[in-house]
Amino acid sequence: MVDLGNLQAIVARSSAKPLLAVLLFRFGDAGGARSFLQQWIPRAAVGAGPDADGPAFHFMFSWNGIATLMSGRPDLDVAQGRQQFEVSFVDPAQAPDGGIATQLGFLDASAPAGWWDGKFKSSDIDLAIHIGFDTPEQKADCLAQVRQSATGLGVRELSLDSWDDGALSGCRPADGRLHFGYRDGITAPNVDWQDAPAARASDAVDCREIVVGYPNSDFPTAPFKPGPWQDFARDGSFVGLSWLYQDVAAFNKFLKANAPQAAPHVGPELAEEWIAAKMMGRWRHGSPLSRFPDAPPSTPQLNDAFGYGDDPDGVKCPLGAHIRIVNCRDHPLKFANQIRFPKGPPRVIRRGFSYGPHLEGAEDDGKDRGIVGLFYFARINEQFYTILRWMHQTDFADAYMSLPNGANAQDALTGNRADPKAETRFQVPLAGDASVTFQMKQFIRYKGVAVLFAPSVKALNTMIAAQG
Amino acid sequence: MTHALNLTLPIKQDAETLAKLRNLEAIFTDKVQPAIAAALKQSRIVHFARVVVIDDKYIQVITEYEGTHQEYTEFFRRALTPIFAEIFSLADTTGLDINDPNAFFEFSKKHNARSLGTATDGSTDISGNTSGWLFSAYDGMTVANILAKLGK
Ligand code: HEM
Repeated sequence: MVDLGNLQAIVARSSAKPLLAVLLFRFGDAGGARSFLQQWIPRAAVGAGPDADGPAFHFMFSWNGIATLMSGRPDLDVAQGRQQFEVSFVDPAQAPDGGIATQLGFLDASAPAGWWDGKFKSSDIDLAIHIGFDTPEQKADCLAQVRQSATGLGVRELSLDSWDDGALSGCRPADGRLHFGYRDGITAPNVDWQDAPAARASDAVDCREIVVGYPNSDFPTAPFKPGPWQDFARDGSFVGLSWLYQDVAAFNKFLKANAPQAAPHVGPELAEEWIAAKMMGRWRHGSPLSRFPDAPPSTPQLNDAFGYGDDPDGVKCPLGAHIRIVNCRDHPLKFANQIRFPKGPPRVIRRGFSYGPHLEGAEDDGKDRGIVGLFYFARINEQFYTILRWMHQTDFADAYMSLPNGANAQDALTGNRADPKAETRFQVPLAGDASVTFQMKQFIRYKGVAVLFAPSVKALNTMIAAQG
Repeated sequence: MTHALNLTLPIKQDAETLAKLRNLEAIFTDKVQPAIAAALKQSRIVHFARVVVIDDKYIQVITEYEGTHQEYTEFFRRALTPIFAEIFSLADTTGLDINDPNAFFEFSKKHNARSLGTATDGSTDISGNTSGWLFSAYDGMTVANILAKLGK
């Protein structure tokens, strides 16, 4: 059983704080870094209780950050830790900006060379602090205090001047709608924190999918070997911190230009909504296509209990729809992936926020907008990287082979069309043998991705405890 | 994109290990080979596979398969755990627990010999560097595509 009180709140539950920011730092010497953290880690929001008033802090570290803080400790040997943490966390070649970037879809305009506005590299990040705020004044005060403390202790902020706050920052949209107009925050894995398989609901997700420290053969999380590093890591999660630009003008233009193709099937009024829904797998107000394939119900129906088993060819929800790729539910994976994922497709906990001004219409205003996604999981390669790969190349389930060039098809919303082998047509099957095919455009761009570790409360305290 | 696995392990030269090698040879046709074949056949991602012993000094697991190393190393490990355990036990495996995906990944990365030459299809190795050369008579057509064309 996982003690939720040992988890950082951002993993344990969603929060309603309206304003959010992520500050990125590079440590100087270990002493300064530790003093800085000693000041702020006691403010960490922990456990599954409701939001407290005031800023809610969450801390995430790269391997370099952990190694700096732990170096010289006799109980936690850094060289051992490097061997025991997952290779995707410790080996720069296996990092999102390493040699494997292209297989994750990070190429062309999304290539790591242009990330973080060109100001720093993912590997420069030692620490990320995610903070939730109640008011703009509170945010301004808090950011100023954290920055003053960092400067005084030789902890350098990796700032992003193009942002109003000098850091990734945004808000939880009041109506839950992201820039393309889709409602978010509907699905979340129902994690079995009790770790009681016999009593589990059918949709429950093993806690080992989210936290490390309890490896078994189905979920062989790293550190795998019992010992001090496994103890240190226990109840921590990895996080894929992802800055994604959304090209709203291109998206709106695409819907408008393609509406005439959709109109014969749904009528002109619904044509744009229908294309948007087919790309996501949900109508933009949130109701799933699997339950409402023909038209959106007048009020959003957010019951998430649906599958794709009765829709193998995607007549209700196309195979290329975003939510069908990132969580294919009961749709069978291909054999090799069934062996990799004996308990079902990889899942992640999604936290994040929207940033940038709203845009109507198909004329771009040159402003930056999108989402800052924080995806939490226990295995980097088997969960986060796998979902990224499947969005980029849908060869993960046999059903895709029935689509034209289906092994190279992509997520209708997030696919990176610049890959020369990418299939850029999106096939939307209709009842019978008919289908409509859309020529897809580029709608999103990765502007920075880093894989970090969100330690347990106990581990946070270990990190700031006096040496040895 | 088709990738080559040239897993090459030096065989320990003690009597016990060499006896294990003789045993592996003896049971290969009836026990090992069908188990590997069953997993690979269902996977539809492997073109060819074989296991080679050179002068009792090296054992090689050689395959041509689709997809990236990161994506399918876990499939091979999980599907063939006892067989890898058997083969790896012939080599110096200090620190390797075959049930540990991380250790298995590092071990197979370290022992995957690069083919000579330079890939002409953009294929990259486990660290993202350009792979060695791999000739394909059918331009890297996938196993799934070939099987589909054969009506299988
Ligand atoms: C700008 C890019 C993106 C947008 C606009 C977007 C939007 C959405 C929306 C609206 C939903 C449905 C809401 C819900 O079910 O709660 C969703 C679901 C989801 N997205 Fe994304 N997303 C984006 C990128 C990504 C990326 C990069 C990942 C990969 C890690 C991802 C993973 C997921 C997952 C796992 C779900 C839940 C699906 C389910 O369980 O049914 N998304 N996304």
